[in-house]
Amino acid sequence: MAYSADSPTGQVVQNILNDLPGLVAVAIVDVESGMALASHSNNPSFNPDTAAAYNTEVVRQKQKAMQALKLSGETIEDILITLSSQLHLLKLIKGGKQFIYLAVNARDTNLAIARAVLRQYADELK
Amino acid sequence: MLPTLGAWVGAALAGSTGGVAYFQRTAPATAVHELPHDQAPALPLVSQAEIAGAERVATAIVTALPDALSVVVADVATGHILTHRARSAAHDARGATACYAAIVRQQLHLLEATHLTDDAIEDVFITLGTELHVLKVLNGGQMFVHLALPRAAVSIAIARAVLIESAVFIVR
Repeated sequence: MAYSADSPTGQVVQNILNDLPGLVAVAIVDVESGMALASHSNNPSFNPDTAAAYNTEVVRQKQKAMQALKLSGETIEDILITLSSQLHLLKLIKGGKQFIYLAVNARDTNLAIARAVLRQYADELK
Repeated sequence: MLPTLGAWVGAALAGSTGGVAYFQRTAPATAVHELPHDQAPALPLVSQAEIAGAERVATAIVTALPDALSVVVADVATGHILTHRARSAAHDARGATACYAAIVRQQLHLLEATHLTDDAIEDVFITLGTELHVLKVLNGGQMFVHLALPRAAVSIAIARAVLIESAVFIVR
């Protein structure tokens, strides 16, 4: 457990854990530094801070791609990554400065559920 | 970006519109140090069959999704464009495709770093304000499709189904 339930971000991590107890990992990540403000993993071999760092780069590259395409009126709302056995979701918050990162097993949770949970907590962190 | 690399990407684009069908390695070995990402890629030697496969994938996608804004099929290691279709003639996909290739490579690194070695990337959906962008990895992680759609016209589920169907056209 790498969060304090006293902080707003830690509280959100705790709430998501309560809603999706079988999740693989969850983190609130700062895009500028790539570091997790709060994180939790249920799988000892899955380090959420490492995953957060790589996924920050994904967000940055997408923001760069949008600049290259001159899509200036658009912002990233979320990114859904489907792997063979897991779903990874990145929900951008605070105008793209942070994101909530959620990894779940595809057989336990479907995309619609995971997305709905993230939307709900994204509003709380606004 | 080095001019040699730019010229090479330009040649790739010319090829995708029907001219040259075989791309040779023309950039010097030093060019790889200039690339934004870690993995120094070997520039691909793309066969006519692979380009034809990419063309068929792009055609299948735009036929099934006539609302598509743009479709790009490209090489993961280099961001090299195999084929490109867009609604607007002014659409320049080169810079953005390099970023998409970097996204796919980051995901492959993530799988390694988080010990998810049995997993493969199926697709990446990026929701923007009015557009939906999809990256579909093909050919065991060697190629990818980038598809841009208006959110109002197409759902994630339909886009995913079309991409899975179109993937059969790729040459392995």
